[in-house]
Amino acid sequence: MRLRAVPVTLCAFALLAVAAYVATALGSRGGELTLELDWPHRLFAGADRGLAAVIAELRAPRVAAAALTGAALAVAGLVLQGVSRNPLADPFLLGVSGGAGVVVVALYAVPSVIPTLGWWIVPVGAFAGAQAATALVLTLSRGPRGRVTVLGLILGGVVVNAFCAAIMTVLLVSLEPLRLRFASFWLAGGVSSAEWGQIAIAAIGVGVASVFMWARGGAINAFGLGEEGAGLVGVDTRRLLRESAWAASLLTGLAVSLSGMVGYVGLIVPHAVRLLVGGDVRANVPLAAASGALILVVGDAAARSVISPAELPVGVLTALIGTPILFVLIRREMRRGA
Amino acid sequence: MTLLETRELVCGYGARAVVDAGSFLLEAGESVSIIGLNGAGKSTCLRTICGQLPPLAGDVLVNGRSVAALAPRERARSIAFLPQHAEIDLGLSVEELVRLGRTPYLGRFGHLGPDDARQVEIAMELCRVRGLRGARLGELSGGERQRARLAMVLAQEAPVVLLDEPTSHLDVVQRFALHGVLAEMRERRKTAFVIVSHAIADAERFGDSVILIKDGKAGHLGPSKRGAVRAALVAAAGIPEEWVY
Repeated sequence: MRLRAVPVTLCAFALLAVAAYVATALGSRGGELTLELDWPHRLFAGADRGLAAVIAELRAPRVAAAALTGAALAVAGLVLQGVSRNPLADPFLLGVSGGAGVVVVALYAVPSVIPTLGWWIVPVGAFAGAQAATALVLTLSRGPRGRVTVLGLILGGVVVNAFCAAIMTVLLVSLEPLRLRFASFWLAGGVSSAEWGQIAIAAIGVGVASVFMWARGGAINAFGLGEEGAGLVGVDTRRLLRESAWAASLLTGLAVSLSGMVGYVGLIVPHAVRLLVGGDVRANVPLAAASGALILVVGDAAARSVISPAELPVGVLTALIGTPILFVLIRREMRRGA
Repeated sequence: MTLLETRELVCGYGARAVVDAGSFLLEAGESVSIIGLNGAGKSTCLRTICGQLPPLAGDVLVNGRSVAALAPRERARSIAFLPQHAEIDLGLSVEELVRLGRTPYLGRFGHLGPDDARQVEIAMELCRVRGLRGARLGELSGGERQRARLAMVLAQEAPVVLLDEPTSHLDVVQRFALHGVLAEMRERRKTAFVIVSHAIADAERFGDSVILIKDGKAGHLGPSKRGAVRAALVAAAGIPEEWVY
């Protein structure tokens, strides 16, 4: 059964607002998990300076980073699945996240780079790494007559991921213990409290790329006619593929620079969205953004609470939930191919 | 009014010329059939005319403008092409498919307007697929799917429509129904058609004139008359007449 896209999207955004509110209320004091749902009141009354600082510098940026990461990955996955007509396309599986991750780890591994150049080098570097990995995967996966095949994409992703993992391991062993601990948490997909400047840059990037892909949604729909068929109805397919690769790389790079290697969000959210409201990419982009953000805000709140006062990287949760779903999707694809 | 014109057109792939298509004119509301044996280069001709393949020599003009010089959107508004095979996503519904025919008219933000919705309805009505609007392509019979694809091409509102073997999977009833749709389009919208077909009935009943491709050369056979198409095919194939039916 299909629901109407607009009300469902509004509901998703409303749920996101509620989740963000509750997640901001969630914290720990003296090792105890607390839920301070009256935080806006306490904040504006000015009575609780400590809480104000905790929210402004730790909790709110973390919730914002989780939301942006989820939205970015979901839209990136949606775009990649749309233009490749491949239900298994996902920035994590295709190695796009890996490419971004290598650059970020490299930036952290060389001691003086980030302090000298400023934190902005992290998202920029992540974008460059994602872009390089996308180009590499697309080159590897081109089959006869330039067609990107499902198998080619997955195998290309395996190759790029393996290569990126190897480089990251080399970089990680050179780190001192404290930085290594931080880097491992980040690599496993851990949302951390980023600088507000970095959040702002990411918000602008995610917003621009998502609106751009939303506007291209009608043209991406035409890929349902095959690449040649899309060309016949007036889509400049090469240009659209290039634009989509850029947008997906930007989105993934920003997500990785905020939260490391969170997997499966870009894979599963687009599928869920299509199940709910059908396959129109234009209707799917805003809903995917809202749902991806919602899932990561909830997921990160859960990851902070389950083994409190310690924390799980949210990427561990998405992997635990995502892997069985990926298994089902692969089985379905294999049967269809046979 | 001349809609489509080829000038000394040579079609092929890379450096390999497949067909010397020569020069011909197509007026509004007119239709021409291209016949020939398998591998004669009929599809290559169509793909060159619609701009999918660059011409090896010569030029194709629509409304006096070279197809190669048109932007993809503008080209799709001038020429529509129904290829014989296409990798269409079978999960699409009929209505979703027909709406894709409006892709060249998408607004700046990828949206369709009320005029687009009306054209989609008209195309579905013409091809008698309105009742199937919610059905997925994978659930349809060959004839229904072909009508849905044709509706998409008609929704494109191009003055020139190229059809490659549009009746190859259709039974006799469906085939004549399709002829009816095309005739209506010629009458009402003055659409010009180029049809490639193996079926002699298509060429005889639907084409105003016939072009035969033989030995890498396209020759105008003149107006299609009962018997003329069959005789030409027999001559082209060098086979006994009773083989052709």
